[in-house]
Amino acid sequence: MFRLSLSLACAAVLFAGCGTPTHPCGTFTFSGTPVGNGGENISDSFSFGPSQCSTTCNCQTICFIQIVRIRDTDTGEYLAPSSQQFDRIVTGQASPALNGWAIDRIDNRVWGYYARYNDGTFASYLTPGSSTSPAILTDGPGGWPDSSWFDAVDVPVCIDSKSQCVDELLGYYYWLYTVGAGGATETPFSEIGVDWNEQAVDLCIAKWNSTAPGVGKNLFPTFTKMQ
Amino acid sequence: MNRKVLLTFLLAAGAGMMAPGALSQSASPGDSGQMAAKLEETRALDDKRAAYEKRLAAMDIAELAKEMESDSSKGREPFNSAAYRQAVSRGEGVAADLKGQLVRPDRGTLIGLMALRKISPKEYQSLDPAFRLRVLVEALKNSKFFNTWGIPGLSWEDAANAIIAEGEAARPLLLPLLRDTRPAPVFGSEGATINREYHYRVCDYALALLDSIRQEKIELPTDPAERDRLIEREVNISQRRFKRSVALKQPAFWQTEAISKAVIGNGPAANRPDAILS
Repeated sequence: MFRLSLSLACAAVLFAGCGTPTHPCGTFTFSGTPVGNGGENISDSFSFGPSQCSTTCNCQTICFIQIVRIRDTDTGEYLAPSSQQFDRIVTGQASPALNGWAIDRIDNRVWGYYARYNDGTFASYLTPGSSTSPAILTDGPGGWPDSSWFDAVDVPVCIDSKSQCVDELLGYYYWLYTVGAGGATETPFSEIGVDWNEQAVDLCIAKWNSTAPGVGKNLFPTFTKMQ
Repeated sequence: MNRKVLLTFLLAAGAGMMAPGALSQSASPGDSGQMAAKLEETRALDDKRAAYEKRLAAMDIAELAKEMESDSSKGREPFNSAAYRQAVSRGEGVAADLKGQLVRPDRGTLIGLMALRKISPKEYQSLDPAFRLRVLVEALKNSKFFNTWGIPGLSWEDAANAIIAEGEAARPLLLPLLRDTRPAPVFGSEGATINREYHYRVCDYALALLDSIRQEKIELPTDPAERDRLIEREVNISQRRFKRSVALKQPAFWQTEAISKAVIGNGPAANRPDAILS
């Protein structure tokens, strides 16, 4: 019954014109398992398929940019896990849907790419992909307070400097869960990202680049979107 | 309830992108009514936030201090406290008044203390060091989530830096925490993922803070058992310092007047620094 309601709600949202789905240059495979305590175990896999975008590019290193938005529904305030992440939350946009987002990175990491160490390698919770193997992001968001919601957009990106599609964003994937009483969580909602997710990502990248120099982080390059 | 919230947000998240005109143009009458209701809910949440921040802006410093105390008591982090941001935005001019509000030597004072440290290092330094330490360490010890402090070996937040800035004076209060093996989780996304891998405990925070006080940056092992060996090393360092002070017939390093005030009554006798060091 809930899934039916959710589908109807999604259909209503899409029908109402709240967002046009983006066209990923590959295939996303998403799973999310509620673990309680305000948390989920997330796996988001992306198999690069340039032919889906009528291109033939080869890329040897694909990783992810992840943006997140967390909101306390009791006060309406945005939340962040650290002061640096709070400082890069996007605010002041006319559309409420574009506010509250930030690049999701722990402090003391210079790269904006999810799970990337300062030496350029990746933590175990991110498996870099290529033209022949999927990029896999795993995440374990948790501990968020009761009555909060957490949504995220995952964006696979080619960072292979020898590739003709280096610095191209390859798709958008949106997921969302809420935290109920006692930290209860359920299977997250997820779907191919829509156009406003794309805008939110652009704003987060710009915000990262404006705050990065002050905290010793690397700037993102200028990205283009593979479509 | 949770499902209802999810549905609400799903609708609201997208609805926020629409101009009200677009809603009536493209949705069916039934959908339009539902969507309009959800749009109202999202706007209501934005309005709630704006109203709260407006209310904070109208508060005098005493009221703001109470609001920060309420946030502190709930375990909210300074950076997630709108009251903290409001206090900091008022600048040094309110520092003396804010300092006058900071009287309780417990965790409820943490956010106010951090705000004072931010807007006026001079007024902050003029507080009794024992009071500062008591507030900081009580807050650390009683944290449910540890985002206020940062992640050991990775990055410290302002509150942890405040403990580190107290130097060796913080050692006697941190020593008992070296025996505190309660989990020390952080909420978040990537940070929470790392924390689950390391299974940080309160004692790991104490260890990393003491290392930082000695200006020694050590790599914390993933395995808690390996970190336990580092904790024993830290206890040994304290024991050596204690014995040296006894041999030289000097007061033990925590026995300055200010610090002894902070140590007295700090937990069960078995956890007092002298018990740990003997």
